[in-house]
Amino acid sequence: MTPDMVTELLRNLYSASGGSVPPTAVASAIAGLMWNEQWQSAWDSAGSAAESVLARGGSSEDVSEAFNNAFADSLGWTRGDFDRFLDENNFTRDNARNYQEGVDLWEWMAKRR
Amino acid sequence: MSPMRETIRIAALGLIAGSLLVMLYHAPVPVVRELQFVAMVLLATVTTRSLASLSGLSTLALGMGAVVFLVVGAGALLTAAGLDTTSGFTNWGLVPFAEEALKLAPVALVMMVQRRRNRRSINPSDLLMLGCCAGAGFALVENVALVQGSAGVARDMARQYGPNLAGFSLVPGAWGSAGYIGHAAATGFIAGGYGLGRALQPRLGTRWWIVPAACSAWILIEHAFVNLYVNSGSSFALIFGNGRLTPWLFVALALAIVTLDAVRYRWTLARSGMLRWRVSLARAAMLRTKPPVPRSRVTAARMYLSQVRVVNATGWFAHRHPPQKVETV
Repeated sequence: MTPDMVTELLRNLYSASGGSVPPTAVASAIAGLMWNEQWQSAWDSAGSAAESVLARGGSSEDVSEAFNNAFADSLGWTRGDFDRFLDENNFTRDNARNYQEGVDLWEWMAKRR
Repeated sequence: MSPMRETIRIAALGLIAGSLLVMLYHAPVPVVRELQFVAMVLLATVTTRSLASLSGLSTLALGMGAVVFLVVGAGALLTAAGLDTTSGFTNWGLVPFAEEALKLAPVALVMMVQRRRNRRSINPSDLLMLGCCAGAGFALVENVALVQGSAGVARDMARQYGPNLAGFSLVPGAWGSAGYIGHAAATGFIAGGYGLGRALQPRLGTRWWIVPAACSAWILIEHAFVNLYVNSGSSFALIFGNGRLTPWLFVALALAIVTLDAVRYRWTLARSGMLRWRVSLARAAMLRTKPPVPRSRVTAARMYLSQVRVVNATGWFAHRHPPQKVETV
């Protein structure tokens, strides 16, 4: 199959509109609308897991736990791997408490939405 | 992701890639330029957006497809109403208005979907990115058709103007003697202007709409003058300096938007221990070099960027709905 034949094939495939609009526009419109299905993935699984725990009335610790589990899972880590990662980067429990002081805009937003 | 969704994702990517390859085959220069501009905008807003780049890709495809249908449909309606779209007031007055308004349809669609699914509005960097992508989609189709229709257009495209870095044009859609910034930057300017107006709302109050109105008016007048100049050669159409200022205004607007959103990012992190924790975790995992390393470096990078987007989404939400006793940026 020569490049010209491939081009002709694509041209025919994309000419569903009968020539009233540029041929590629048909495929592009379909593709754009199909991609709409993917917009939900803007929120990653770890963030979604944390948000759903908060929506069910979970505590800050529950929310962090849900996030951490989904986070470790996404990276292909076991619980042991994740604990080692936390230790080596000084993400200790004390450190985590320091992180949770004061106003938390994310919690506030997740509860408001 | 379910097999059905994965199939849809691959089919959509295939259709977009196929469309771009067909256009690349027919007119490589304008296609490469538009894609270069889109890549530049995606990169410039990567840490300030609340939407993923895939939303930009979807908007680009809608610009190439749905917007073209809408514009052709609007042209058919005007013709059916007895108006001549190729000359006179219809050409320089109505056609620019219809094109500039309809190019915003994909941006409005994404805003609507986000509001319905996630109950949130999108930030100025998102609007800038979506506007540029929607306009670039329409520009791709129009420019390919122009190049195929006349060899002289390709020569005109070689004459670029506006800001550049070491010969690399920052607004590659600004070309030729007619003086139009290009559909991508034009729609980005209007959508970004709306975002900037919203961002400045705490300072401007009820007058925030002046920013998007001024941006829209600027682009509409430029587009109208371009059509007038192309069809009549009237020197009156050159009174605004033949559009030479607009690419600079676009760059200034983009810089202002990215700067404001970057400041809001820092402001948000300072007010959320949860987000600081997550961003720190994701950054450390992405940069980790000793075991346990992430199963996929790409996944780790996407995880980090998704956390950055959550910070930006939170910051914008707090900006739009300020919690009591917290000043917004």
